[in-house]
Amino acid sequence: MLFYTIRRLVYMVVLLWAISVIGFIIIELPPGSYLNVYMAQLRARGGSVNKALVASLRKQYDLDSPQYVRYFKWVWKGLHGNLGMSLQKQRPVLDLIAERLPATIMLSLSTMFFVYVVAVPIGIHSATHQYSGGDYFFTFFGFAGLAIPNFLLALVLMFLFYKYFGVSLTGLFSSQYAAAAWSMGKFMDMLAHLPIPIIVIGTAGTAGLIRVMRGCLLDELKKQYVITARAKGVAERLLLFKYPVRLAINPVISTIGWELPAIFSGAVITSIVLSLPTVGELMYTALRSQDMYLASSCLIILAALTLIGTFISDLLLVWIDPRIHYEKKG
Amino acid sequence: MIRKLMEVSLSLVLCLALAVPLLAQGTYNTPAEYEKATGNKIESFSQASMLRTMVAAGEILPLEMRLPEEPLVVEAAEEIGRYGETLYLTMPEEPAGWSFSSYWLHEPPIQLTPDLSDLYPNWLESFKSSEDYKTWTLHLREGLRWSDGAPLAAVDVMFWYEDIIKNEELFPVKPVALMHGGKLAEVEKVDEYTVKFHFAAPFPDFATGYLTLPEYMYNTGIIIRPKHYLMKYHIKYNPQAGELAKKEGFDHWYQLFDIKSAQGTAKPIGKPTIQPWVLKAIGPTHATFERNPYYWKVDTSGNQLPYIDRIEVKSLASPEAYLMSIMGGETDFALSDISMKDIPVLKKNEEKGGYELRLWKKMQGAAVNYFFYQDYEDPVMKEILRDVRFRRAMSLAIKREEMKGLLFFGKGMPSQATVPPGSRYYVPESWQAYAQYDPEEANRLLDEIGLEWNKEHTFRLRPDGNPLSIKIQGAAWALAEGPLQAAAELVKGYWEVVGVKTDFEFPEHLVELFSAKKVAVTTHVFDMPPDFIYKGWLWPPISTEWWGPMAWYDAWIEGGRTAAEKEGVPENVIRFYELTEEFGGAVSEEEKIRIAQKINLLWSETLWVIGTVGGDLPSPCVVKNYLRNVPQVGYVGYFNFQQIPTIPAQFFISK
Repeated sequence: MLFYTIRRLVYMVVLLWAISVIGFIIIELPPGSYLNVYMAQLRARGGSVNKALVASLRKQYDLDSPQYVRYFKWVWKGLHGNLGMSLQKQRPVLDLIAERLPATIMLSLSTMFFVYVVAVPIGIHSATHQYSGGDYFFTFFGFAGLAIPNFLLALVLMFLFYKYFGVSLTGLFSSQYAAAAWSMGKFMDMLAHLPIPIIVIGTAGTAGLIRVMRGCLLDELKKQYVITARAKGVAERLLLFKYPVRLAINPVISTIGWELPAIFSGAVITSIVLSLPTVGELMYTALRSQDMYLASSCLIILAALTLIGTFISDLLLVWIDPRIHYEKKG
Repeated sequence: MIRKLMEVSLSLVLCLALAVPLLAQGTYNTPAEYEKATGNKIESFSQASMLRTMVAAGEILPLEMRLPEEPLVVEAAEEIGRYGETLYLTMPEEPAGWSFSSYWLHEPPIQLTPDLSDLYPNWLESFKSSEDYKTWTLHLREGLRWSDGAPLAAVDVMFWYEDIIKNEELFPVKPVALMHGGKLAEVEKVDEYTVKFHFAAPFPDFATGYLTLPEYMYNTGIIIRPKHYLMKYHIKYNPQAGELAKKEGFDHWYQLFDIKSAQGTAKPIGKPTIQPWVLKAIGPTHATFERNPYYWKVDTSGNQLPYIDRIEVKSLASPEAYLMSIMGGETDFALSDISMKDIPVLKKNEEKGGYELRLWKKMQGAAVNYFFYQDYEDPVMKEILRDVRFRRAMSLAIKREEMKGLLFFGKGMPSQATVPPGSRYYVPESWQAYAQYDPEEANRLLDEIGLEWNKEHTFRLRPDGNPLSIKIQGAAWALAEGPLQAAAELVKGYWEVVGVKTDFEFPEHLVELFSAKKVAVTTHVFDMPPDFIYKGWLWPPISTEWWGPMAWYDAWIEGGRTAAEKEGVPENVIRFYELTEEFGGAVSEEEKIRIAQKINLLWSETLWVIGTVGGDLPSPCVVKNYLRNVPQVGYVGYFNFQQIPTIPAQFFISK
């Protein structure tokens, strides 16, 4: 068990490093750099940009050194807790990410919670009441949510809430509570803003999970031991949950790891549309202005969160299904 | 008959006499001047109750010491306001960003009057130029203080000049305006509150062209920086400035200095300012501002401004969310990032959102413009773009009446992108040149250039046999400012009728394409500055970037005509630069009008930029029902960031 964990951790670090290299290279691929954006702004503001200024700016932002030098400098500083400066926002990257991290994690966790709490019971119901009205109903909505693009769903829901409830639910808090200290009122306000993002981000995952749960459980319910147990008079509810569900839930739990990236990336579009203060949204604006340190750092943070998620999913799997642990021999 | 005429003219005069006070929301330089002008005396000054509490607690100085000797007197737009309340705003940009700051916090040394016809000293007490316009004497308001209570005086101007502008690490390239005449201007301290700017050449435009401009745009419009606060970050006064910077994660002292002195933004928290509200807190999606206890304006009853205690700004990431928040009544005021196309939906939700939609004036030569890049990378296309007949043909091929009806609700007039009527520099022939719909003439011109039709008579061919095709490109961030996309769709149709295959796109990174010369035709909305700060060019300065490489303008700035010719700048472009410089040096109004006419005619003759529909186009302004002292009609535009004549410090909330 210990070996298993350590091995997983080592894989995580290696993977994170690989992501950082690839990410850094890709982010710097578009022609030009933040310098072009900055110079254009300077010019639009009446300053004239000549060669001397360009040279000094290049030096200031380290653009003259080769890419691997920049990369290593960034990694080195990063390991010391200094993720560099956001060129566009003129604030340390660490501050910018830190203030968005709680909202990001909370949103992702609550979405995941919503997805599983909704999908698993519905999947079980669909399997046990196969081809019933309820089965078709849930399947239909699941697929609809999967098919409709996130941003469209977000806009439509936002508008519907405005039309029928008269409130415009932009952002995570209303203006009155945004700057206030935490209180019951602020908490309730946040809860009021959460439904739309959770529904939007979650529907795609829910649809998939319902189908997986349904399919796996159906497979299990056809097996011999279920028929035997029923014949022997075991109560239906007890029978269902003690064995088939526990077995069917195996693939569902093992795919938690896959759900996380989907949730993080789905959250980016939704966060932009709904103006939620998440790391994904920060990364998007950073990429738009080629703010490389900010973009790379956001990418690393999101990758790290995803990897941690898959790691937890691995541990959960081992806990739920002891066979893995015995088979792998650590 | 004569009597009737006299009656009419008399009533007209009376109407004007009554209308003027309604239109103008006046300011008076000092309480004494106010008394002289109106006969009313300001008996005493008073302050907001939250400040009274702070005085009692000893946190700030008493009111008499906080106001300067001669505070600026502001006449309220509607009525004397009441203290208190918090203003809630939503903005489609990061918190305490550019749009918000340039509207609510804008305090240049000199301001334009509400009707854009004159200047008045803002936080300066007076400004005067010498006979030859080479020397400008600026007198600061005595007793003026920064938002942390420290006195503001000529030392802060000298700090800005000697230690920032002249510092090679902070400003390796000096601001263009200060280099007027080819040499860096000299700033001399005359006494504790007076400074003199000495220029190498006459600079009649210094006040209008430089001192009215906000730090938010020109990066140099401010002539003052808080010395007492910035000293410790400057290497000259603190040898440890480098270590201080390294502790904050920077490599050089000037990087930290730049952050701390940051012009053009309310950040960082703690930076002393002279603005009506001071940044108190900032987060990923919100910013909080509180009143500046040392603000130097009072109303006509002696109440220290601003009326509103606090401003909470919520930042939204998408334009749809922003529009939604306006409709939902989440914001008390909205002016930026909404345009004509949003008027119907905003009007419909007036009652539900609890606001009033006002129609302000947008000053534009033409609302949507098309720029023909004169130095495109492909030599064949470059020749075509440089042929004036091509540009004229493209202009004649546009059905402006149809655009007016479809995109502008029937308002405005078909026009070119030159100075519109209402300005003293308006030239009718220039504004209407080639603005008619004449596809036959367009076809004739294109035939004349030698662009033959292909065999199927669907599209024209270039001289090298390839189909003639154009891609119109605009900036994605400008899409909220006007119907750029819809216009491009229409124009695509019009140009394809005369055989030019057209496409359009709105990429994020348009600016890189400029310098790489990869743009052929671009589209943008540009505003025309009011006469007082007109310089002979479209906004932004020269706007060369959109129709020609900056290298041309840079060459001309550095080496005049000879350098420009060496750079390959076409003759009429050099002529344009020369005319704008002449305009900047002109002193008398007649001379200015004469040169401006030449510039306008040059514009319409060369048509590097073509306009579509211009003139009196309204722009929406959303005002919550309980927000008062906001003028019924104001001006909208980039030229001075939409804020002039309204003075937000005199807005108040009455619930």
